[in-house]
Amino acid sequence: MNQLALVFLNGITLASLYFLVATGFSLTFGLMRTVNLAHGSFYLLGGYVGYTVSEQTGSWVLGALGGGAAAALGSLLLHQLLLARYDGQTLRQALASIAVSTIVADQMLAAWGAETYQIEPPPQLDWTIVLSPIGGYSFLRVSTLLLAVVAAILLWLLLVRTRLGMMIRAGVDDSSIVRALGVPILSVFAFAAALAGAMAGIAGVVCGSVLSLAPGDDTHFLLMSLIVVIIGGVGRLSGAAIGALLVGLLEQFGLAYLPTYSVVLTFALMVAVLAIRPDGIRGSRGVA
Amino acid sequence: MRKYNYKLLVGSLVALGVSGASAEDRKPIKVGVVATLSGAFAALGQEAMRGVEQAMAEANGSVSGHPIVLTKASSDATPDSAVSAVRKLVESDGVDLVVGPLSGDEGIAVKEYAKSHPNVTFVNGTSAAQDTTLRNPASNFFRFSGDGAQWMAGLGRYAFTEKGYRRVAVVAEDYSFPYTQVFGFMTEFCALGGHVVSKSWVPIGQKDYSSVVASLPRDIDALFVGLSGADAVNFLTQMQQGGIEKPMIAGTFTADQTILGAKGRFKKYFIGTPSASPVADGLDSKGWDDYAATYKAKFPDGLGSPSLAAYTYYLNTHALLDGLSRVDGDLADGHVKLNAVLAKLNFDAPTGGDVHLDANRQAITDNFVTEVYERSPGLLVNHVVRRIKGVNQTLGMEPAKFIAMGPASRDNPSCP
Amino acid sequence: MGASLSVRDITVQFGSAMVLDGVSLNCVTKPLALVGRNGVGKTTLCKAIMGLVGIAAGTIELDGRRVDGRRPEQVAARGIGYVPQGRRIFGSLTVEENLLVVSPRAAEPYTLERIWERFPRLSERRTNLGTQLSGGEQQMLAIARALRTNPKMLIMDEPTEGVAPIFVDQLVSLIADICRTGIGLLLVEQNLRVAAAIAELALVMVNGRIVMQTPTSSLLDDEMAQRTFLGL
Repeated sequence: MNQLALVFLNGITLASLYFLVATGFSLTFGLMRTVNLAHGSFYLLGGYVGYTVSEQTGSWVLGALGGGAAAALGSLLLHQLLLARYDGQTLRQALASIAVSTIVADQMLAAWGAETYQIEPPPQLDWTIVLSPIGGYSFLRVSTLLLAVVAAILLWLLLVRTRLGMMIRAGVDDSSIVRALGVPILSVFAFAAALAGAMAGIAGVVCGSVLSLAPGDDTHFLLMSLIVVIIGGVGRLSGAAIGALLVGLLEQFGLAYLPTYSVVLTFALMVAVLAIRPDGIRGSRGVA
Repeated sequence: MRKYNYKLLVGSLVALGVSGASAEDRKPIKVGVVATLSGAFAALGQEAMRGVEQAMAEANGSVSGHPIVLTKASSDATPDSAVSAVRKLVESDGVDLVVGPLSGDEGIAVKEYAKSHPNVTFVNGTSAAQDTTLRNPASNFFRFSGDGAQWMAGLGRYAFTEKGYRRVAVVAEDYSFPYTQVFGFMTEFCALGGHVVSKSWVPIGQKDYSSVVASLPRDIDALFVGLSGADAVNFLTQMQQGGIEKPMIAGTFTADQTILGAKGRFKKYFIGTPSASPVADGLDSKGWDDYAATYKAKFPDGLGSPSLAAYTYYLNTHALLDGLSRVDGDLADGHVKLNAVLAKLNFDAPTGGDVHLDANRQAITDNFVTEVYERSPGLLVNHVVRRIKGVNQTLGMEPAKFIAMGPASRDNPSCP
Repeated sequence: MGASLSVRDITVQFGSAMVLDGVSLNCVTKPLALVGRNGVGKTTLCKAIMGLVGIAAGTIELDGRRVDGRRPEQVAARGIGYVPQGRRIFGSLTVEENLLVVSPRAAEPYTLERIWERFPRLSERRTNLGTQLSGGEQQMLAIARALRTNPKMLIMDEPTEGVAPIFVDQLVSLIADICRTGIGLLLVEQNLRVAAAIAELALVMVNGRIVMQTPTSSLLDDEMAQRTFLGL
């Protein structure tokens, strides 16, 4: 019972990280039909920049902001300089973004080396909380979950309560008609690209504090984002949340009870979802 | 008149050519290097390349006047990536010699590839699966470093007799190298009467091990951790967060400089952890001091002390270059001379003690039992507690008896 | 008063297929109908005017200013409103949001209040999701949405397709009303009765070309032409 609850908690805290990275990916994919395969690079870039900034300034919050800003800038540049140029040519966009991710990965290897990094978490969060059925649990992990919930609420408010969010939702539904109604969709796209980058970057800083940062994490998180989006449904906040939860829980339960096959379980879930609901659990219509 | 001039011309050309050759202009020898520059073991791959460069620098980049041309290729620790990297080096870049690979399963795959390319000579990198050389070896694959079981020599005994551990749980990555390491540890530990009560084999590149931690048995004396690179950092952090306060016994790569030198707060959990390895940072020997000093001078942004990946790639490259110079760079007739010399090579390792090969072209070499200590604030190094001399691949057992134990696997050996 | 849309010699190719082959038309003040069988290129023409598909040759002008080669949002900003085939209502937006998401080129005359007055039925359903409306209501919403951009010229692609018969008459009078306010209209329509009720003139399109221009009334009486050109 104890262990079950613990594994469950581990699953949902891991899911929080996946959610933070996958939402941006899902949003840009749903909105622009752009398969940005460099999304994972911005996750790792954000983490590394966050590490450097927080080392220099001694402030975790500045690190998170710096990491988010760097990743947002990178994502925006990639979109404006490369992906927007190949609007509608998804294969070219995919290939161009793979090229960028390879180049960025090498640059990061040159700048930060191949060592594993951990970011010093804010001491206010770094303590053990006592949860009655389980005993002690890292509050750092609990705060990851809280952060994901706050991020989800803010995103939901942005999407549902603002005109910008309205444009994004309409764009996910039917971007060409949005354009034909005069909406300056290219600015909306640019905003979405930067937002997706920022979320990935902040997730990188959070993950670097709770887990670690190392070369190869970029492709790992890209792969996880793809799986989360395929399982949850493209372009939807709730889809990313459900997808992330399922993947996180399955990964942790798999590791606890079937460690050898835990990787297979995630893909088996993906195959099952594709077979039964090809559009993902939450379908592909709508954003919220 | 014309004829005379022609002869003069040719003669002077030949003369120029001969004088050039005696200096630096003999045919270049192409050497390909494979290491994991991406994926979970990227830090090890970076170190591997440093090891190769250090050995190259010692030889001033040439052997008997043949410039050595290095071509690097990256794998990601999967066997197919290693084979495609080697295939690219051999079939497209046309290298004569290959150094590598880094990871265990990769080594087995590259050995199989070597069998179909007898005219290329392969020396190992770090890869330490047992069956790369123990069963069905390739005649052109040489390993001047130990396998994962050899690297554990002395640790099982130390844990049992010195530390007094009787019940141990294992957490290790799920592929041939950790199987081999656990095999090496258990061969000694179980023979003395110790029990390995559970084994958790986890996928490589896992980010979040907290649920593995949650499922560990609590009635143990110590935990054997056989994880490398980022995997080890993640696991150890989560082990602390999960409140496991059992002492650790570390696999060779778990207490390696790639992890001891990483940046993060998990490091303090390491102090006092016993491990075993063919290298030891705290080794008190002239050869090692020189080697480590050269490393630090050459790679100011490198680790605090050369890691096992750097050392093994260095050792294998050094042996290869040594062999090449002994045959004066002669690669005729499918490297027949070079291969004969390599098989009989005997040299002193920087760690002291000699290195030579057995009939399967597998190194017989010294091994160390170590403990992690903090040399200066933040700088963790391995301090040697025992030197085990001349460890061979069958760990001193009769070869037939050793092979009869069966290949290292998830379930072999077993002493619950 | 009175916008003019002038299309000259445009061609559109999809790969090697010529979808529009030198199409020209002038739509000035009075509504103009465009008829033809399915797949002859009517919708492609609408999209080409809106900048949603690229043209290989020719020019498109609105009130003497070139709009070809412009992005759809720029074409809309110049004053062309688009009511697409199949209505294409934003299903995850409410009725009101469908109208608010539009970027109007001018605030007047179609303010949100004005739209609610004009479309009382939509007003009643303003908090419903777009997908919860009936076909006819969705069509009204699509028209209202295009009006919200305050266009000089409207392009409507099959506005009565899939709309219940009792709704068709309402739509016809609604569209005719809009035209009387001075907004130009290019109407793609399969239903000749509807086309005739709104526009006096019709262009007939066959295989990517305009083959004739004729009064809609005479087309209504000419069964031979209907069979040949419209497959009726």
